[in-house]
Amino acid sequence: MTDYVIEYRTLTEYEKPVKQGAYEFLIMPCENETQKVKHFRLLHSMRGEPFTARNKYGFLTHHFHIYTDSFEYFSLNLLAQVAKNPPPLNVFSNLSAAEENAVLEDMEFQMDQQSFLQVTPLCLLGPGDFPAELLRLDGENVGSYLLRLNAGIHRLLQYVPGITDAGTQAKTALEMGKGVCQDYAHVMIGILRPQGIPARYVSGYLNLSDDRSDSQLHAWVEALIPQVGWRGFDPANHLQENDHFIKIAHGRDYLDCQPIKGVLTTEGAHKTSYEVLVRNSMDYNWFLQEQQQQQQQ
Amino acid sequence: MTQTSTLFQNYPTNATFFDEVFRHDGAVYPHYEDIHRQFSRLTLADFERLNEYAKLSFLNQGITYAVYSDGHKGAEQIFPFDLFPRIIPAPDWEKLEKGLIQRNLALNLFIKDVYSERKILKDKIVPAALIFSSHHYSEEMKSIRPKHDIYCHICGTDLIRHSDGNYYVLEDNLRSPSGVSYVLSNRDAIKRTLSNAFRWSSVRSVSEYPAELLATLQSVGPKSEERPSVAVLTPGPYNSAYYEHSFLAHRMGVELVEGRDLFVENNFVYMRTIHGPKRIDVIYRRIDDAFLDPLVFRPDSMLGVAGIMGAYRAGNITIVNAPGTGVADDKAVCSYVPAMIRYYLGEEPIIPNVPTYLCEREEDLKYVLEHMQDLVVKPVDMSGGYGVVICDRLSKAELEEVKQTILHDPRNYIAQPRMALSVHSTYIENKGAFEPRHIDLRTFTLMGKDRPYVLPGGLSRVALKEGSLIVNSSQGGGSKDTWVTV
Repeated sequence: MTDYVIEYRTLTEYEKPVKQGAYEFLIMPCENETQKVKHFRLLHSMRGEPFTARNKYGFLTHHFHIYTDSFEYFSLNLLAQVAKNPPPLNVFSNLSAAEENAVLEDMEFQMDQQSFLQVTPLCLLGPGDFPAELLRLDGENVGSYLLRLNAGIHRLLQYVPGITDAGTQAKTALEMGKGVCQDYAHVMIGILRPQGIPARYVSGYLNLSDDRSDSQLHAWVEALIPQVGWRGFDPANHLQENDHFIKIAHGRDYLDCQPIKGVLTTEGAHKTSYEVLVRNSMDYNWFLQEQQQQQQQ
Repeated sequence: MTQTSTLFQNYPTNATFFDEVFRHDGAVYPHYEDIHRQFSRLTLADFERLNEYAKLSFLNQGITYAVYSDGHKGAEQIFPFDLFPRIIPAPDWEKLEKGLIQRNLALNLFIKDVYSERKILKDKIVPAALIFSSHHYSEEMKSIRPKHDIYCHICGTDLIRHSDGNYYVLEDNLRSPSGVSYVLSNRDAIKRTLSNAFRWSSVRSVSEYPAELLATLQSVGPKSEERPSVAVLTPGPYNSAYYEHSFLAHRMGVELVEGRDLFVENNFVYMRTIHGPKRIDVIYRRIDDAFLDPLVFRPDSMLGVAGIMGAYRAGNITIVNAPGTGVADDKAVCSYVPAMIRYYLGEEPIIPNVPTYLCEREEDLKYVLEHMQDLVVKPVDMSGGYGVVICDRLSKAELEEVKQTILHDPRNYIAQPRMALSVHSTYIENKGAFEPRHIDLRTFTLMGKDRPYVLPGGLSRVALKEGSLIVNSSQGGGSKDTWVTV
């Protein structure tokens, strides 16, 4: 088991005072078989406390709805200690490719997985948009194919921070041959879903194993392998999901996993900065001690 | 009867259409005899005076609507009203009422199924592609179970009467069906204007509709043990149906609110008042799904309430109708309602559908392209008569244009045979006489917890233009009071 301390910081400054605003944050690590949130602390510049709600896939969001005070900046700092166990890496079923196809082609399966089989505009790819060798071969097992595709997409795109934005479509990233983790994920999803393999977009934190901080959350893909279950793939880094990946949420594409959504009444421009840090919790003894003291009180 | 009025002197009989009032031989159907006799006693001048009086009554009550078109931005107009009521005999209505309740039960079960187990799709009764390509399918609803499993609390089903004399369902309106305020206002106008005729006839009352609507809304409150507080959510005075929104709120005695009057805190919805926040439990919303919650749907929506979907998911508010019900009022999906009735209820549909060709089905598309002249083409997701093309009125070039439009996006179009909508005697001002005009019937069905209710009658809409089949108010239609006999 590994203990991480995750820090998510954001600051938005507004040119003119904001009179009303509603914000929704989707930044809290989720809890599942391989990860647990042990402590967290949410520091922010607002009067009053946020409330939590669940989104359509059951993930926890934090809401700030401000109606009475006007403000010119909004800062938020999430500090969370997460215990992470290594997720299973096996991607191979005991089924033949034909048996796997029978599972994937079953109407019952398709209806239950429909959310992650339907292509969304951000993931939409035509047959000519990517090399045909990235399609699944006759007789190829889904697990082997996913490993091959993960490597293939990694080679297909060049990682260039800032080259694309939140609204960039998979097709556009492929045309440029460049993108960030989000684009890699959209491309992989756009190739998998039309072939009947359920795929979902995952947002989360990645432990970079050194002291680098990142300005963005990470994004990867979970694909459903018959008999095996959901497995995570990170085409941007050519990795399978391991214990350095801390998941926040999944959805059909980026739009279901946006870390911040806001609806405001203001005139004029605004400027937002983000910072994401993932550290081994040993470096955060002060945080842990403080949490323990609070619990004892 | 010795005196013959000029009002019906030149009334044409026509074998092609079913005339609600006159048989082909010119005789009057028994349930119209009384009212026909009364009208026949009037001189033209008498009738004109009554007609003016009725029109004034609408103007004075401020019963107007706004039409959006290129030239005019929401100009207020009086909804044309015809004094000759449409009469439905009790036994006919009894059957329609049963048929409408049956249909609504099946529609509710269908919507629930689509957002939960999807049995009807797995069993391939309704094609899955049809559902998931619908603009009104709502992924949000997969994780929400509305109170008492009621999705569609208020449904406006449009019926027509074909030349065979039978009623058929043209379409269901499951999002925000409007028009009920006209039913009530028409009745008020008739009572004032034709007080004698009305008193002599035994007509079922419609005035309890607001009370029935309120009871329906209260029956689906989020906490069963409390009496819920209800509000009507309107897009505001610029909406074409604003009169109806304010009318219904007023008659139910509940608040009429806009999105900016509401806010969400800790997953509860509150209304701002001068006495501080007041919790709202049930929202009868008259805004589209896309505008409900800017944090979930369209972020530019100024009409909705940020966080309301979270409150809904937490079970702290009931939204009426539920988001995503539009998936069943897609005109292509509508053609499967008889199949839904058989599938969920194990019954035969009491009211049949107008036959519908789905352009996305290859064999249907072929038929549509070959028989355009006999068909009416409609986009699947538009209401108010917008986008409807009656093909036999088109030139060759126009017809070709329509064909190309369909071929470009077959999923988006259906075609129906040019059903002979029945005609009804209607007063035509510039002719000073009654003439047959096409009519349909917008019915209103309420589904509360254990309390289905169908408004007796509904809104008989009349196409005032000679020969026209489009009855929608936005397309130059008028309306009639509808009498269901006791």
